[in-house]
Amino acid sequence: MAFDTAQYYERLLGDETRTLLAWFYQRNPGVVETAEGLAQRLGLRPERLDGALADHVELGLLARRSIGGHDVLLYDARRRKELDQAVADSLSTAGGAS
Amino acid sequence: MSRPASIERVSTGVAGLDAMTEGGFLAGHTVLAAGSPGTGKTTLGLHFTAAGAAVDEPTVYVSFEYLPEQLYRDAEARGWPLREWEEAGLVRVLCTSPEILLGRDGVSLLEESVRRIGAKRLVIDSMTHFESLGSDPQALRTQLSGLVNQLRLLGVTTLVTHEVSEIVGPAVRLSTWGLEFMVDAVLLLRYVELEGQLEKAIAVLKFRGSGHDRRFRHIQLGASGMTVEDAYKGVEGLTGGSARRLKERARRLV
Repeated sequence: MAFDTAQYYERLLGDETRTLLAWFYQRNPGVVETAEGLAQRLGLRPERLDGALADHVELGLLARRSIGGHDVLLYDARRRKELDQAVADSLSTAGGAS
Repeated sequence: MSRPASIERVSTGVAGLDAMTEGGFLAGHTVLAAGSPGTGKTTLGLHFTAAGAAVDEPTVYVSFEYLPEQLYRDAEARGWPLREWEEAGLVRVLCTSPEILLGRDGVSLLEESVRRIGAKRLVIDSMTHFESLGSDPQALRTQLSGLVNQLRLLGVTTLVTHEVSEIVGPAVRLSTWGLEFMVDAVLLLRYVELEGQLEKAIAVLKFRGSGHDRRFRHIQLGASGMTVEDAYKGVEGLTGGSARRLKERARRLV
């Protein structure tokens, strides 16, 4: 199935909160926090992050895991590279077709 | 034949500090670097990490307040490509909270991270944040004692930092919960006032299993990180933070 670049960007950068989250993890891949802790680091109310977190999880950029009895979010920098590569491949294919 | 683990040396990454400790930290030990703000605790942690990368000894670097991007930037400014090392599996920078790091049950984030990259070195910067775990000093002390034991079992050589709130002055309390008694070695980084100037100094207060330099030495923090310089000579009052040259004191006494 072809990679849906538009949907990817919508989920990754579709609004201010999603953009902030993507920007934050791109620079800080080693942040391991609960959803509440992450919201605190970003200066946001936890409920404001819900949709952006769900999309990041859906994209495979964030994984929810229980570690040491805490439900935390872990960032997957390799997945981000895979997705960026998929975008590049998709654009390259589109360019070739025109 | 390899030497027993207890006398293997682990370079601190600072040549002058290696010399002060007769060759570096002892493998598997936990070392506390306590110091006032700006005296080089994080820089020392980065030196220790860089020294590990140089000999293919992976390091887990744990920060609670400083974000990874700040560490990457600080390291880069000193010529250490921390992010590249991380991509190569030589470093794992974690930014989390003390609660998550230690965990409530099962395998903790700390243990998992050390095992995942086969870390030989660990930096926890800083232990001051463990105060957020609770207000009962006895409970905290028990928890930290457990942490130090866990580090021994993991077999990592660990550098932990702790903030000393006093900038200068005679009273230096290293920690409120006796961390200095739990660890194997203690380094004190502090400001001393000498002839109207604030200088930075380092001393090794405790070093189990080995001899060490007992003098305060002047340190410089520059573009290439920390440099340990000559020991203070002909000066008294360094532990009080306000030093005097002995000749001047003698002159005043005449």
